[in-house]
Amino acid sequence: MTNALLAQFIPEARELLERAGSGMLALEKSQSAEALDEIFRAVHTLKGTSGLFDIAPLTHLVHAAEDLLVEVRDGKLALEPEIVDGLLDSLDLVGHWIDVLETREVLPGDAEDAMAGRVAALRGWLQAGGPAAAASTAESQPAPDWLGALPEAERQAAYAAGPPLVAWSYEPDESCFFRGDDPAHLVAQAPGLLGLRVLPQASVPPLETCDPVLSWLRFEVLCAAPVEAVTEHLRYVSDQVQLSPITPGDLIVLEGPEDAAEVFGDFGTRARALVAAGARAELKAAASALLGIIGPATRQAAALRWIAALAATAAADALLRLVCAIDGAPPGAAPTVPPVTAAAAPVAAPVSTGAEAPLRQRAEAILAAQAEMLAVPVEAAQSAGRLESVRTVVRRCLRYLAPTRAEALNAALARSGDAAALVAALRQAENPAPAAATAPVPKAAQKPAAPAAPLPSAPAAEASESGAGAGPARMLRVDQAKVDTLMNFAAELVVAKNGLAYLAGRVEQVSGSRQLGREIKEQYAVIDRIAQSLQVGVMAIRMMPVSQVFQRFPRLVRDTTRKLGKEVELVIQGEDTEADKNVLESLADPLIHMVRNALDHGIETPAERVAAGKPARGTLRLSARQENDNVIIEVADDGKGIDPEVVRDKALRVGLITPEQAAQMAPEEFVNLVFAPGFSTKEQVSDLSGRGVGMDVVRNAVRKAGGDVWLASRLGQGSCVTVQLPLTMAVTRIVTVEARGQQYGVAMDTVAETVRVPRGQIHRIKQRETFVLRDAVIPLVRLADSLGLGAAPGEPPEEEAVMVARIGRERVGIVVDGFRERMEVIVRPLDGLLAGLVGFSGTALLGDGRVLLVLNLPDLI
Amino acid sequence: MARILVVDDATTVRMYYRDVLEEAGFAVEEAVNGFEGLEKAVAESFDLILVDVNMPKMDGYTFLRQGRTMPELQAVPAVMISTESAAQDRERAYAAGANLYLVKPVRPEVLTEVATVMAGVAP
Repeated sequence: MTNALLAQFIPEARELLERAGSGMLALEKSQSAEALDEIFRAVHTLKGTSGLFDIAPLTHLVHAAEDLLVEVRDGKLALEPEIVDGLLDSLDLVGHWIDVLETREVLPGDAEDAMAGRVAALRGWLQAGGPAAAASTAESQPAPDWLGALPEAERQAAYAAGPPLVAWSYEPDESCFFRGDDPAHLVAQAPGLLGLRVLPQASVPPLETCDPVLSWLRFEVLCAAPVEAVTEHLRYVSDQVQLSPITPGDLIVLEGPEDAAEVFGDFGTRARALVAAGARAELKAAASALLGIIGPATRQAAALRWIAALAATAAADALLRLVCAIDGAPPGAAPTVPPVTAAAAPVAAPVSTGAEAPLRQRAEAILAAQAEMLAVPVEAAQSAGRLESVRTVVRRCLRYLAPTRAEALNAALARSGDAAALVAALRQAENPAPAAATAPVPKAAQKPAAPAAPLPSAPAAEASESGAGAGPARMLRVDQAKVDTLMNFAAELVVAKNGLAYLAGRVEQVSGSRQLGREIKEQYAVIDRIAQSLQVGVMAIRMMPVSQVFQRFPRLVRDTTRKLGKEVELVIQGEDTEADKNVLESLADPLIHMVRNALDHGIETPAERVAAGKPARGTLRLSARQENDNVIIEVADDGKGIDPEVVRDKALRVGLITPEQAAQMAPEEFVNLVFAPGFSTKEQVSDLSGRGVGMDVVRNAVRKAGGDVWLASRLGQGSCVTVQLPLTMAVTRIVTVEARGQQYGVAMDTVAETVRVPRGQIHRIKQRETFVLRDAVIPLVRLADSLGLGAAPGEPPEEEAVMVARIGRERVGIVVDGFRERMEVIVRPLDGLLAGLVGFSGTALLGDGRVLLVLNLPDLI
Repeated sequence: MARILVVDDATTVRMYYRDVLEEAGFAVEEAVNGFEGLEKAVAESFDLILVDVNMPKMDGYTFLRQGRTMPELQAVPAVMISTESAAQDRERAYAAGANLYLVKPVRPEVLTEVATVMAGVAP
């Protein structure tokens, strides 16, 4: 198949798997027919679509999953957690195969084995569901349409042999002889070989261009052996084989023209009586007797031979169906007639068969289907329309038929409204006279339908549908690199425009022309607006709902809790909150860490919970919301919480804090020590009472993305980790501040406000400077001290310029020498020798070409 | 040029039909479920309809039954393409009004031949 088709299949398959997976989890929570339907449809669609590609193991596995779901849907099988495990496990494997398909375009080499194991497990549950379940499984396997072409005697032998039966076709690769394959030997050695047909492939080149040393063979084989044995036998050529397990019933395919003789009515009546009476020997004798007086080539003769062969052994209903096929009495109970069998395809047809032969056979098959269709009862409302459609189809088939046959049908068509005449004419199967069909053949049909290369002219976009976000949105798939490039340009533009503001100032200074300076500023304002709109627009492309990150958690929580023997209800809130893709990606791993910690160390076992007077089932809440330019993610549990005392003792013991520091710290500050690098690495905190395993890793990842993380906990009641991240990482709005003559940038989203504080209002509490801002005591930090710039020369000013920064949930006043302009910059992380510097998030290039150091306040303070 | 309406909820499947049928010279229109299929089939005329069984909103059976009662659609040949090969599935398709029942995956040459015969107009 073309790569374009595969490229389309891969994202669709992923979406279907996702839908089935989340549906399964929803279903486990509460049995709803809707969720089950959704899963079933997703799996069913995946099965149907995967059939387009040469990925049989995938199709088989999905098929097995579908069969299991059918049982569940029909109420024959309860959805036990083990079955959900099995289904999820199989879907995971399919997901993995899709990943492999995407990169290598073939399934991994072990796919066949992996599939067999999973299918056996899934089928195991089916068997447990009762014999009826097993039967329906076998029935839904598609039987190949060439079965009827195998010699009848071989099919009858196979019927007698009974299950397991496998029908397979094998088209050896054209260069197989050069690779040392011996197709004939391989087929001859097949386990349980019962029937065989060798014929040329459908697309043999004309004789003059046909290379005689290439293989153009096709084998159609019937084996009485388990499908596993046949699969094993054919493992080296599995890509050239189509294999389907079949039931004995599939073998009863009746070929040949209809014989309208009267005698069959009498036989039918008698045969039914004999079947009812259980007089099998007499039935066989009656069938044999009738065979002696009619021609052997008709459909009825074939049915009679089957009756004669099966009379002693077959079930009554199988025999009755054969009887019906002979006298045509009750409609709707006819035995299997393949809808599109190449009717009586000659064995080893000459290579020079023209293109009209397939079309004539196709037309005959279609006509047979019309007869079969008209035999199925229909409601009155549809009957006129249905007959009309049949007449259309018959009319269209005429040109491909032999002239005599076409005339007969045309005459029947002329008697409009006479359905019976039409059916009778249809049942008069093709006159096996000369194949000299003179019907015109459309040109396109003459070449074999090559794998089509061109993309569909219409975009393959799903129409957007209404209804609670159920329907797929109209989407454009774009390479992320393209959006990133666009984003970078937009960001550069936002920064470059800052140069204009600087230029306006220069113009005023140098040329003294205020007019020119003002005009430049006006122009700057226009460009500024456009640049910002552009940036917002591009940013919106990269915005993704948090659900993209959250969606993996139902599964993770389910699996982890099952392993830990805990019961946890996961509550997800605000999953529609949007944030930049990069930000969300940086969040993914820390979040997994936090959720695992909460499940492992936070939430207690059901027994512990009940003992503590809590419900046995714990709750884990994952929530997201937007606050200003930040997205806030919270992971909250109602577990045992963290004991600040224990954390404090531990921190003192490992020397993380001094006893003096400890004396000044509030209980919540102790709890947040779990984020300190030295804390969790020396000894697992899990043996204390809370979390802490690798929490420093979490904090590093979050801070790297420009955010912060903190923890609140109440002993015995639970913990809540809050992650604050910027909505986007591309452009940062900063304010520049001055300290000791140096300028530094500070991200605006950490700055709550700027105030001037008179010296007299600064107090010392516990050796720390503080001031009161609207009834809140705010600690003061001098930026110059933090940066190690030394004391200010001369007298301290009467008023201090204070920037109130939000660090986590706390506010800190930062004393600076002055504020300068605000601007938007791209912050580039420090690299090389400077990469290890603490307290700086990076550098930014200013409009006048200077480099500005941007402070990372949480690290610095 | 013969026009064919493809009704299937799987994008990949529609794309496959489109590739094969356009290569053979047909004009192809797509619908993602029976409901959209009916809307399109009423708005424009088609020479042949290929319809899936299991679709959200409106399945293939309902689509066919509905179509066979509508003057614009009742005479248009329809092929139902399913993943099931059991006899009762085929009969259900015929009862709903399908003129032909094929089992997925339909090989390109089968699809082309069926379309060539049933769409009536030379592609």
